[in-house]
Amino acid sequence: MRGFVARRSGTQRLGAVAAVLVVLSAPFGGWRSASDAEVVPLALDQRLDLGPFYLTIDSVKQVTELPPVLEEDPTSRYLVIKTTVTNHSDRAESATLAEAAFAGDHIGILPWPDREDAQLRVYGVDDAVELPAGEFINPDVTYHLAFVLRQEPDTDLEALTLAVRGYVFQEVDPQTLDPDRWVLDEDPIAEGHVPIEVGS
Amino acid sequence: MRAPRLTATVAILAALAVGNVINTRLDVNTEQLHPVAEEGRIGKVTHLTYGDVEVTDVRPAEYVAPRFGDDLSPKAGGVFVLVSVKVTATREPTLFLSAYLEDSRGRRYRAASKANCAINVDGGTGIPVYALFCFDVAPQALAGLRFELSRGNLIYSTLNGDHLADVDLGISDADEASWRDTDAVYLAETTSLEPFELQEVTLDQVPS
Repeated sequence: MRGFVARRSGTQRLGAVAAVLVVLSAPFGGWRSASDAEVVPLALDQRLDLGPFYLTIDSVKQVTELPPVLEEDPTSRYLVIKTTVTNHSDRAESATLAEAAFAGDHIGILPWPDREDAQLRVYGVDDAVELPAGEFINPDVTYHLAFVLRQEPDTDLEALTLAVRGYVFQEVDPQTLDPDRWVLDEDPIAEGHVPIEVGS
Repeated sequence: MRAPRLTATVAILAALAVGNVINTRLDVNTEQLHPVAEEGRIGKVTHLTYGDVEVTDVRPAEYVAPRFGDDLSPKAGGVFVLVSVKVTATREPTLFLSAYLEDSRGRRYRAASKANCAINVDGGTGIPVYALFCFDVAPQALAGLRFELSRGNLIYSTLNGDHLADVDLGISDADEASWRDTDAVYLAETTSLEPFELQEVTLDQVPS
């Protein structure tokens, strides 16, 4: 064995080590397919399966105010994404999973005046109550949620695209020993431009 | 010199692979110890090794109105199940951290933060604490719900081996059929050292 290895060139030895490492990476997920799912064009009234939740975008609207929760602000507009979200899993799941699923391009996002971040705010469509941080959605419960962001008034709404990403259920995480959690996919399930209604 | 290095490298890689197999295949992360359920029913005291738990009332609501301030009233996505509880720590001051509902399929429901009701109960020894827990439950899952309370934490799986009150809320199929159409509105309660009666209001009466 020693003689066999000694007779191989440096390149061959390096290749052999690389091949062994690739083989040994299999139990760690090294051979797992990157992403076979096709990204579909985003559309209104299209039910997307995020993993824990079904999410449907019911409407997207740009407004100057959102009574009774957001007052008119001449320096910005509000983009309101109204959705229907149902937890179809068998356990309570954090509502932040729905919030974190959203991404976008050319959205002209601005930070909130009372916060340093530019994150989405989430309100109940039926009661206008802002969903508290850490709220859970129980199994089979459906919420009508409005995801709201503050954007620049001159945002080109025709160029604006949204994306919705899904989750993979990770039963075991060998690196963190944090089992049974949803991990956000890098690639979206659906993305594209949807009609944006402009209101007052 | 090369052989020991190669052997060591192979041994390390093999150890990593074996460790991964042990971790993923032998189910070492699964809960090995379940909580010890003490079954009870509404209106009866359930005695745990560290406290007494009594569910005194259960009722449905469409809204839970804030007691103070100008906050808006949250509406249930399904039906709010309001569970009134009297809890007494019997051995030492105790935080009853884990309160949830379990349905007939074994699914667990967390209390709704947006309802501004109790999330847990912190009690001094021998002092009864009264609490209202508000859960948002799908209308088709109401019948057969059980209320479960213990010291452990559901998130960190520290319920393992703990004594847990497991109270049948007595919600029948007929209750489920009528509760799903409820339009009741109650003022929110959290925890109190005094007993409280739930106050039914109309949304017009909510402080604003």
